[in-house]
Amino acid sequence: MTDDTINTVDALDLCAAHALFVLGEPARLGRFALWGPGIEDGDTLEIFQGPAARVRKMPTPVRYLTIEHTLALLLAPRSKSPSLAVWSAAARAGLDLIGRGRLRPAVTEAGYGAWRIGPLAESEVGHLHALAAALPPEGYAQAMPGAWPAVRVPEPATLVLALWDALADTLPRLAHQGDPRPDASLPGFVSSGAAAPFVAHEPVKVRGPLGWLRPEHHARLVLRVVLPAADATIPREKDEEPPVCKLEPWLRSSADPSLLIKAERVWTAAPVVAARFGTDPEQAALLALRRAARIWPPLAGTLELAVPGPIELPDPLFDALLDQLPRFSTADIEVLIPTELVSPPLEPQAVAVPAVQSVADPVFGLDQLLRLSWRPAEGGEPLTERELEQLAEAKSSLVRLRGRWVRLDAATARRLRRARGRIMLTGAAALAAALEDGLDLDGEWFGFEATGELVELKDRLGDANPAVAPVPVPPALNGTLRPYQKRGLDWLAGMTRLGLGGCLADDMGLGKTIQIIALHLHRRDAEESQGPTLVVCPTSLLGNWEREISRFAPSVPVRRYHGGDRHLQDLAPDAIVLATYGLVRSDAPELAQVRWGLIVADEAQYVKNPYALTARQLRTLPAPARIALTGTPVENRLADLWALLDWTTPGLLGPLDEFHQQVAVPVERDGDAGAAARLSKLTSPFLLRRSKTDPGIAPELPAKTETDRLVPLTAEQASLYKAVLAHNLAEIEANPQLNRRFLILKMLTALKQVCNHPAQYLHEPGPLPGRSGKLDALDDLLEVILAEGESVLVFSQYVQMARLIERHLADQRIKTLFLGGQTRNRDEIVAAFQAGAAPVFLLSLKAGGVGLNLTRATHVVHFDRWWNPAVEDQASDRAHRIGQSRPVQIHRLVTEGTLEERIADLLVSKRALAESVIGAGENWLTDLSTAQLAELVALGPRGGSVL
Amino acid sequence: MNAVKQRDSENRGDHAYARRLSSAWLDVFAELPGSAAGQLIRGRAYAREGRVGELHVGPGIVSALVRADEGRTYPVTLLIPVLDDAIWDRLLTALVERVADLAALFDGELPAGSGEMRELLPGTGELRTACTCPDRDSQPCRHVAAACYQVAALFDDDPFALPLLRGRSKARMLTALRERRGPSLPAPPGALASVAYRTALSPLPGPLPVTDIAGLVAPLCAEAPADPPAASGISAAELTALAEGAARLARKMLES
Repeated sequence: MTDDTINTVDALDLCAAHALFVLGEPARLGRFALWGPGIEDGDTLEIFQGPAARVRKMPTPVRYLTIEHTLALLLAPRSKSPSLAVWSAAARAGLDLIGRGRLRPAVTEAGYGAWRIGPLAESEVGHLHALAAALPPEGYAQAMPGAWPAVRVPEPATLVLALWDALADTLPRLAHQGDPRPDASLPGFVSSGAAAPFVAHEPVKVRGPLGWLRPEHHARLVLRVVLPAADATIPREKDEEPPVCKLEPWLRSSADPSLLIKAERVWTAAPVVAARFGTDPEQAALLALRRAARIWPPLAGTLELAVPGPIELPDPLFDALLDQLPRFSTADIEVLIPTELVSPPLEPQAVAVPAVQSVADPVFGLDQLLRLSWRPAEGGEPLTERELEQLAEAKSSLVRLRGRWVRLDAATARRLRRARGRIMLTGAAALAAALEDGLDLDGEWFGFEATGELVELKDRLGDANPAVAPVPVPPALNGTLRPYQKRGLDWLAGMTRLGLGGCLADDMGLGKTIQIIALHLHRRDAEESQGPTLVVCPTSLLGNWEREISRFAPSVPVRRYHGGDRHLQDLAPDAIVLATYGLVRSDAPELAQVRWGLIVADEAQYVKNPYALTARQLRTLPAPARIALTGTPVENRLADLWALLDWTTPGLLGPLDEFHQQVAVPVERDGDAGAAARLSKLTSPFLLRRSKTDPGIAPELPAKTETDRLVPLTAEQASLYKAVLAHNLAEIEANPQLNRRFLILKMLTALKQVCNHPAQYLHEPGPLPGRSGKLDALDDLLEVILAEGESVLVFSQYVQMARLIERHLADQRIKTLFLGGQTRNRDEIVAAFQAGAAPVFLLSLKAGGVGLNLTRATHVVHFDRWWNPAVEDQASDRAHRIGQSRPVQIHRLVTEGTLEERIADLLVSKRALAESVIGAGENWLTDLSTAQLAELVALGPRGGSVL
Repeated sequence: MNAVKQRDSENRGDHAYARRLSSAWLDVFAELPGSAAGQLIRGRAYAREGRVGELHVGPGIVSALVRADEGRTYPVTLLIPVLDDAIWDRLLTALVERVADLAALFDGELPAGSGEMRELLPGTGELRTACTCPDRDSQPCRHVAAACYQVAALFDDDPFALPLLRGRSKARMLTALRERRGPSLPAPPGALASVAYRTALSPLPGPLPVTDIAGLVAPLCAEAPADPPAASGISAAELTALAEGAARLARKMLES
């Protein structure tokens, strides 16, 4: 390169000059003409310049650059010129092809030797045309000379191909010039002057035969599908013709891949053009069409007129054409179809917007009505009513929508018809659709896009571990929340604040109660609650709730809505009211009068039958927030899941029969993974479940948890208790010294037995159900424990009681193992339990002596208590001992208002002195005075009664 | 000497109504008075054995030399009248109207439908045959038959031999057809400048698609770029070397 050229290149590179390619003969003499602002002098070229409204031909100053000089510029342009960018890409593509060896020696019209690019694969020809389609007119709009009114410019594809040819013609000569390899490796190379036309710089004519340099030209048939004109109308009447596509025959030149003409033009083309299609282009065209017609007979229609012409493609023919594509491809016939016809059909996608614009109430409501509108899945404005109607009623599959053609297949048309009628959606259904990313309408599945508040809500609920905004631990909470309980509180607070409700399904023993108490305090402190909280639970848990609330939130007023004198008057706004399921069933109207801030259903599996009266009555109690608590794994039984979530978040899962058909059956019976995944997406935001075995939780749990379950006496038990009490106290009074110890122990035993079960006291074999609060409570406990698949030890002091329990469980078809003091084959039975032969192991307290390894159990139930802590602990330790890796829960059944409760309290205070003072037995009780004893055994609530 | 290729009726393809020129021609011959099945069969065998040579077709006449069993060769002549201009006029008009007919002709088939095209074939009385063989009594003799079968084979290879036989060469026919289509301007090359400035530009495409892995790895040129004949003086190796040099240079340029 001369210095002048280098300067020119650099200088030009920096300004936004246009680059126009000018053909040369032979190809390597093609040049780039740079023109535009900044180029004032030099050679002149007639170029058509814009703008589009006023295109005119002007003599333009240009700077010519040869291919060699332009290569560096082309490969790394620094200017912003768009035409240069395209030429740069074209040059890269050309070099890429040469790098793959795609070049052929050829001869020009004038007889000079030149290299050309080739052969080109179909995709590479496509690339050529793609580059040409991107080339701005400034890159090729050179005025062509000719006899015509001179308003024509070369086709861009011709120029791109010419650039490739120019590169192909230049590079071998450049390479040879600079080739350092010794010529000895190339036989005859040095001396062969015959190769000069392909090596030398200056044009050299080829001597000798030329036939091998002229590639065979032939024509390839191209069938082009053409869309109807833009102004074709959709037919309204039945007999109007719908707009149809046409199939046109075209020809492509094999020698010049940029050349593509309509087949009919072969008859009228200039000889030089026709020559590119072979020696006999008409024959080639007609034979190709006949061959195509043999593959697909409808193509015979192209030959009906004087010249090959198009055929119409109504829908069935278009589909048939698509089926034939592989055969055409094998026969080397190209078929070009516009993308609109083969792109995915119009997909309607549902969008929900609030029906009534309400500024006042920004909180999302589950029963709020939303308007459903539709928009194309690819995006864009929603479809208007008119457009939907047009699409749904289209008679043909080709419809005009917003300025372009759209093809509707039968399935899409059907979906549009279904979409047309649907206008409204409830908030709950919209939320469900947002979570599932889809909406089911009469069996058709539509994509769903959430907008506005729905998006925020969905985001908040969306993840498995939602980034729930943490709330502060209520200062009034008298206790510490474990980390997972704090997360539970955060989640509960979030769900209730959103008005959505949810189900807390932590394993038993993880502290659902304390999380609820914390929630109540939080809502009170944050002033989010509008009224008192109602906790509905089984009767056996009333006492437990009361105790826990007093313990953890002593500032909160608690009222037990229970008994003949129950009432709901004068409720403090931050009170917690405890009621049983039975009372909900009977007193629902009264309860519904209260403006509750939160309703909690404990052991909510009690109301899993949505048609039962209790469940129905529960649903009549209005509340802005509803939380269900359960320890059973609800996700395993979809009907139960539905019942729970339908109460906490009404409308989320739709009506029960639809749910059963669309979700339960596919998931449970058919094992449909897709339906299961959708269900999970929908329900997981509303269900929080931690298990004892969760990695984050197990270490946080203490190895041993002890819970007292306060259980009420049945009426029969209460009257028996009073009778026994009266009788025995009288006897003790009457016999102050003699046998006092014996009489006290006798009374205590009798009372214990009454508290266990009337049948035990009365030495009856039955009936068993419904007569003992403790037995009911045991049933409740076992239901949860067994549902979790765990094993439990049930201890009683009395072998008879254990036997009664054994009978009771056998009646319910629950397998048990039994170990009493008399049992012989202890080891076998123990081994059977450890192997999982039965989930329930009944033991008398004495039998649970040393040497037993019962680590399979993770629960221990003390049906009654031996009032000596050491003995009790020892029994409990049967399960919790070295070798037990899981936390163990110990439940103690204590009848309310009886001696059991009071002695339990006493034991707590005396536990510190247990080993030293109390000794091995229960005799310490007999050292109490009569008065102390009377107080201890009286039947009634403890001192310090509640509201 | 060309051997007759076998053409079965199955080769007719989907155009059940169309007939191959060769079949129609043979039918005409088979209906000649005096043609006997035996001679036809022998004639066909002769043609298949390649015994028909020096076959020349000109306007109105076919001549051939048929080698007979005894080693002798008999000249055979077939005479058909040339079609006059009026008939040619009608034929060309029919061909112009429906390009399917011309297409059929290119393919060696008798165009269906139009009655005019049948005129290309001679009627039964129009075909006169002559052979110098001693078989005076059984005319047309087997040598004539052989020549006819060979002509049929010719029609399969070059359908325009039939119009030539009837008085018009292919070139003259096609020119006449072109003229009949009306004066037509060859389409001008290039595009309109105004259109060029109004066409929407497409976005720049990505890099060139890879079509063959072999082209990307050595050897750079899997096969020689061309196969020059000895008379050119250039060897394939030289061309390959040049092409490989170019390929290497191109790759180097792209990498930098």
